[in-house]
Amino acid sequence: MHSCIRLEFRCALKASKSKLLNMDDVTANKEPQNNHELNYYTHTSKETASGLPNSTEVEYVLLPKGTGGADSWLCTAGTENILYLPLHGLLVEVSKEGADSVRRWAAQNVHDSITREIARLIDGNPAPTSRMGMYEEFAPTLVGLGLTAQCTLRCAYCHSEAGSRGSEVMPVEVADAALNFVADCAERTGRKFEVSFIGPGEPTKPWQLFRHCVAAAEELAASRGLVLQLSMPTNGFFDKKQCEYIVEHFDRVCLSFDGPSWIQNLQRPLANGGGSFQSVYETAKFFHDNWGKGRRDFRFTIRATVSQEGLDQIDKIHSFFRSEFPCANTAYETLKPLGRGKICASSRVTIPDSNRFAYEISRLVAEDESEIVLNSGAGSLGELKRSFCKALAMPTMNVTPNGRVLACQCDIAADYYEYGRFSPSTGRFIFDHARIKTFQRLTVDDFPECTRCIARHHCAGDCHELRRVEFRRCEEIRALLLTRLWKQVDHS
Amino acid sequence: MEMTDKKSNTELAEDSTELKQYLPDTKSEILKVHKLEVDFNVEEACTCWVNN
Repeated sequence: MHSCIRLEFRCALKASKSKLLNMDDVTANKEPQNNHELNYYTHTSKETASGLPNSTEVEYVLLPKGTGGADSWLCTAGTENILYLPLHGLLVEVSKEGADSVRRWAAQNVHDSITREIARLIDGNPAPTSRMGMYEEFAPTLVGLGLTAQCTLRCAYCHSEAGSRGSEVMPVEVADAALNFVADCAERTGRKFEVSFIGPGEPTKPWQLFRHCVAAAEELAASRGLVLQLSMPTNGFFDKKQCEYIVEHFDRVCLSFDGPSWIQNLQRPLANGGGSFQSVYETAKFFHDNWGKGRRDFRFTIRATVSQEGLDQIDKIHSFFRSEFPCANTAYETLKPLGRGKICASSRVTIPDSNRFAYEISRLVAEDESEIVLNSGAGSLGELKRSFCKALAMPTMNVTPNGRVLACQCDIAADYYEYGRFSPSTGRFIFDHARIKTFQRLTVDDFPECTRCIARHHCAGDCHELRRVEFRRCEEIRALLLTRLWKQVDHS
Repeated sequence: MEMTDKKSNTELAEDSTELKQYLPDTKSEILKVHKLEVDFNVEEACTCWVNN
């Protein structure tokens, strides 16, 4: 009887104690003087805008040199404490006394039974010595083809302002040269030959060119024995024959879809102002019904942009996706002030409150039994990295409709990311190798503000384009990471 | 409180034994170790869905 009561109490406690982080007040104390000093990032708990309680205090603890100076983070929520050592793949639940032992160890280099045990765990699970040099050679094996600036939709926040920045279409010789160059690199390095179709416009709009590129990629892969991966983001506004073609040929599709008609039509209207919901819904249904079919085990992810208007009814949006498309992962991304998103403040679609977004999406992650709720900033627990994505680390070869080569597909900042271009006279690409080296060497180690952040090995400083426009989403990334940590503890 | 005060020494000893079963062992300061499967090459993963 007592056990039952205790269990119920614990379940109720788990349900009510949303161990989320409110980063309104993030204080970094002084710089470390040596490896033995206890350094803090103190995340002060406050009530969120929605009035729900949350509190996780996170302390950065640099463990002594005997461990190789291991980065660790002590997380405390109520009476529960966990020590997180991401590079060692360790998450250790400790008592309050255990947490105090860790603090003493770091501050005074004093060992006791618990710290010896943790040291043994660290020794038995060594951190990688180096992951640098991964892309020492410039050999992009992922090409992003920006076939056109045209688009069938006029999304209120489009980062590349598609449909309102010209109607250029990529010449076929540019597409062919890019595919050939990247296939060469894939053959030389033994890596996958990855072909993606990207913005600024909707990739399927120039349908004949799109099909030509898919066929050319397949022929290159077949003739050279390469493993081909075809993917693209798409607005999903096309007919059934196009759906069938995509399912047949593609590995992965990221479908931009914001939810039920009231939010989809508000945020993603057609170029003529009409609603896009019905067509995109039918595409999603077709994709869902054909999950795992086609030549390459077709899968798709739903990618929903969340405005304040959507966030106010996020449960309705999430229920819609879960009930209609249960196979598909759903990535919720906050509306960002990029492209048309910069003027959202004066439109009917507005940028959501960042703390509220962090709270609501973390709640969805915590409540969902599976890993079906995604966010680009915070992946699964074991996913660690030094660079946010390979756009800059490789760098990837994103080609604009007029033949410019960009590291990031965010072509609205083409001058910033440009490192090469197509030469019509030679039919080949020319590259700025100094610029390539600069991109390749940029890692989270270059961002001092990330040094003691618990998410540093997860987001690696976040998307470079967001950094460039000074849009930080540290709150949501840390909140999502902590949610996943506590979920691991509660569900194991 | 009154009930407890009236308990015999034997009963108190029994309670004390029962209580120990529920109290955490203070010597076990590591309660559980979770080993996470780590993938260090996830910058390979395409995260191009970041932007609106």
